[in-house]
Amino acid sequence: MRLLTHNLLICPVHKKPLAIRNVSAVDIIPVEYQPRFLLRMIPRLDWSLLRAAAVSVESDCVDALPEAAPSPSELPALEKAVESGDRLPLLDALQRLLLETHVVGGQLHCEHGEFYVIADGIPNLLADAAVNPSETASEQAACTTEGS
Amino acid sequence: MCNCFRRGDLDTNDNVRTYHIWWRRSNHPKTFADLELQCLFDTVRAPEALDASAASSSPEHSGGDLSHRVFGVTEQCILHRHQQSAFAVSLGLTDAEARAVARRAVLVHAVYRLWCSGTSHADCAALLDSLCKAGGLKYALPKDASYFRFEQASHGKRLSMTQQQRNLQIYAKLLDHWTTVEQRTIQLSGDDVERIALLEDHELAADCGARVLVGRRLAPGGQLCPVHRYRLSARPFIGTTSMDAELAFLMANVAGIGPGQTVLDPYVGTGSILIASAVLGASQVLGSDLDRWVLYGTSHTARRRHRNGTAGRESQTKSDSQITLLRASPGRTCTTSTIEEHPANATNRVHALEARTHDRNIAQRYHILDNFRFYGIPRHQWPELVRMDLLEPAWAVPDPARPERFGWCDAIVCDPPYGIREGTRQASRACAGDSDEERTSRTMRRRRAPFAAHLEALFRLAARVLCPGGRLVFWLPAVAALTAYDLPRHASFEYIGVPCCQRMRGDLRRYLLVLRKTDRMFPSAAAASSPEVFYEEAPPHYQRAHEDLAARLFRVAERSEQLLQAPNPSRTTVPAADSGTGDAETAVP
Repeated sequence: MRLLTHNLLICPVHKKPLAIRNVSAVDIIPVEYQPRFLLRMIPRLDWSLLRAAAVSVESDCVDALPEAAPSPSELPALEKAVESGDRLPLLDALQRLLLETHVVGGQLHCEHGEFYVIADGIPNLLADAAVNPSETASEQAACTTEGS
Repeated sequence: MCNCFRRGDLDTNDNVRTYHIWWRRSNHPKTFADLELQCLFDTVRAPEALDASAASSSPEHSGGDLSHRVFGVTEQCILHRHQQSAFAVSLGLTDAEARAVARRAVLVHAVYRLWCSGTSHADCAALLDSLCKAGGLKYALPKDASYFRFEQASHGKRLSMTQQQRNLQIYAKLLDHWTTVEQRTIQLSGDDVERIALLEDHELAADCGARVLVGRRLAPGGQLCPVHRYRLSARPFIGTTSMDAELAFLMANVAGIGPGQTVLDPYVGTGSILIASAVLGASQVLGSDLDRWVLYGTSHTARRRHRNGTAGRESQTKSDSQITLLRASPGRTCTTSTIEEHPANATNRVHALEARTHDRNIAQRYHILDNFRFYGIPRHQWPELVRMDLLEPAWAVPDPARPERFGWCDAIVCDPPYGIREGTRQASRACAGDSDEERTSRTMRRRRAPFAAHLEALFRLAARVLCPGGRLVFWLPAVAALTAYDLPRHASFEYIGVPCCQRMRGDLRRYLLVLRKTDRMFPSAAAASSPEVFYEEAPPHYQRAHEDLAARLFRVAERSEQLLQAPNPSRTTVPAADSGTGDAETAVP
């Protein structure tokens, strides 16, 4: 799962954004530089979610990412720079984060407590596959009492 | 005497909006080709070009004698066609745009620039001759083209060799003119040979009298999507309902997919539609599915079962044990990395097929991404897969607080399950009355959902994630001819073209529906519970063509959708009586 895809996902039950936690594996797969596509995607992104995701995968591009998304008035200037062939640090960071960083294993946490598992790079966002830590804890407690 | 198209422009200026002849393929009903052309016309024509074209189109082109033959109008582009004829004539594209359309169109043999039309070859030759004398045809061929040849085609009547020679004799005067005055030479083969087409169409003749069409060939069709290269029979991973390559390209074309776009297939299956989208240049390709095995990979592909047949029974049992081994070992990279790139030549391909057949016998696991690796599609166009139930979608809906983030997807292209070969399943949540065991065995808990529920979910998703102008393309299965009462409608969508029918076995048929998102906002959150899809008011007791498909097709009352529970039971409010049907597919055969 690329971070770009993560930005477009929400919790199927509560319809809230999901936070990446307990990352067990991250792949960096370099791909062709695509400034135009990234510019097109900037207005479609949830910027705070992207920043949080970048922190949780411990990417080295966090510093290059501004606090807030470029405003629509700044986009034409960026477009002009891209047309003239400049490499912009912002787009380099976005390229690395959105297109090249793959979360292969980890969890997606909803703010309501349950989490979804990412296995083999494929998040399982079925509502009935949500793991509720409080339920699991009580089940484990039940198991241990049975065992004893 | 027909003078519909005979005043075509004869210069080679690329920026003139003029007439073109589209030679449509006949392997599908012609309506498919028309729909594809209509959608591609919309795609290739830049919005700013539309105003300019309205001014530049000369009055005789939009004259009253044409208006009664206008079948499809897309913005400023008009397509004249007869239901059965092979040739359709369009008005309003430049040569460059026509080439761009032909490059992508899978249901087009070739596109020609129309020079003139007439009831007979003599008629056309006389017209061309007079134009030559007036100096008009001097520009008909590009200045740098010094070779040309004639090619002939006929629809509705076989053209014998003698007849072809006789036709050429008629144009002999023209040959004299070009070879002597313009210093051009006839040559039969080569890349730089301009082809002048003499096309006969007897169906069109019956319709509007234009039996003979003469024009210059601009481009062959479908260069960008060579269907043969992407055929299912050579693909590593296919399933029972994989979309045929040609239809997948057709769907991607009518969805107007191009570079930089985001495409979503919420019923990804084996990924055929996404392959077509990626080949046509989509930058972000997303797929989701409920089925675990298409996402994580399986060795039970349709081809494996087909090829092995009964002879493979032994290896089947042997391989089953290995599947469990593979399932137990995490990570699929070791099994999938052995798929080779698409071989360049035929002999290699045979070896590759043999190698794959051999591999298959040792229970290799296949995966959607194997197909992308096989075709050498660039890594950034590989699909991002998410496992989800469309009836409880997890794709981000726009935030009302941030209206500018409205719609992140450019096209939704999919083939929903019809409930016949692929079940219309949904995830069934744990219910209050379930035992602990049922509550924890979450992976296989499925139940049938009515097709209408999927339709509703698809429209709801599309209304929320598509950007304005984005397209929704899908197949609607039906057991009877579609009427206006059967078409699902949504406040945010409008139909493009007419639904195209593909006959399948028995009474079953499916219709390709193409919808465009209008600028209207999706319904507010207040209406979240009420259905958004509506239908035209039908006569009482009218049963829609896509309702209760399986029960009507097989005439089995048990498969009726009325026996299904209401969709989407919430986690706590479901009565305990439902607990026994955690997997309703076994309860409802």
